[in-house]
Amino acid sequence: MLNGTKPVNSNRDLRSKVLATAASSWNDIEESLSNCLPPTAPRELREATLDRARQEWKQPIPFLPLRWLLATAASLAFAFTGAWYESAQNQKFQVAPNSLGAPTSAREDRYQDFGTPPLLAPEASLLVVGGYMSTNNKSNNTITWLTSRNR
Amino acid sequence: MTAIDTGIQKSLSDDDPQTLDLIYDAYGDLIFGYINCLVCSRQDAEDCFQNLFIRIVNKRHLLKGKENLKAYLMTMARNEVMEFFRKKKRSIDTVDCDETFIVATDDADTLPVEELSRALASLPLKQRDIIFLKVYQQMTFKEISKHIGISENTVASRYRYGLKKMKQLMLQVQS
Repeated sequence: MLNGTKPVNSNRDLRSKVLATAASSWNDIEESLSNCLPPTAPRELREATLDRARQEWKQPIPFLPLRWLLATAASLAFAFTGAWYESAQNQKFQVAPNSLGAPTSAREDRYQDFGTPPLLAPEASLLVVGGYMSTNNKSNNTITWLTSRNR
Repeated sequence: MTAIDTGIQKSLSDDDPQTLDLIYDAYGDLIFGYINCLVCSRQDAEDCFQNLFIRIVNKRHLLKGKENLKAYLMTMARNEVMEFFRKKKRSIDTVDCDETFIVATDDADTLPVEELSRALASLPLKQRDIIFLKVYQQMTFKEISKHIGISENTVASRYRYGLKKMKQLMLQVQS
């Protein structure tokens, strides 16, 4: 007490006692749990599961999954049509006099030089990607997951 | 690699559908117990279990050459369960467990299994998952941390908190 070691030791003793009690109680629970077993798979589930899986096994595995091919094609289409659209826009502003030689509005120029607008090509390819994703369960779930609040 | 795993790997390299039987016989019960513990419903566990086998078939090329097939399958099972929760738009922390998912062994008839099961079921999934892996799969904290993708210390603390909470619940029941 005089040199101040006793309170420290008694604290340590107390701490170790508390820890030992806690550990023993955890051990009790652990031991009780280990004397039990998780349930086994029901017998009727075996055939149902394996039959379904065997059917799936017969399906050939594609070298590259179709969804990756589609996604790659859509991305490339998006990139190229976007680039083409950009270059067409730039070209329009370089050579766009009307028949009287006076400058016209951007919208008129577009119709004069290219006829109809280029069908909003980048947006069209986005639609392709969107359509693909909406038909693909996994991607759809990914979107759901990304947008869900409780993820 | 165990003898069973070697057999499964050989069957996998031959692309033999018999692989499924081998996997089922070796790890079926183990995986089913784990899934059942996570989803807390026999019906949902059966659905997840069947879907897992379809996933195994579709990803069988990834199983080839795996040293620890059991750990890989357990991770697949866990992912399947998480996918299941996402599909059902259910939060993993609001799962209501109304079924017992442990049974007493023959020489442990005196145990309060129902209370134990209820106490385990009342834990959050994160703690229940770790307790299950530690007690029934005899996995170390290090293995569990790899399996779940969190730090070893977090695994250890979740395990202890889980057991502590179970103990409190058991005491409440006793009193």
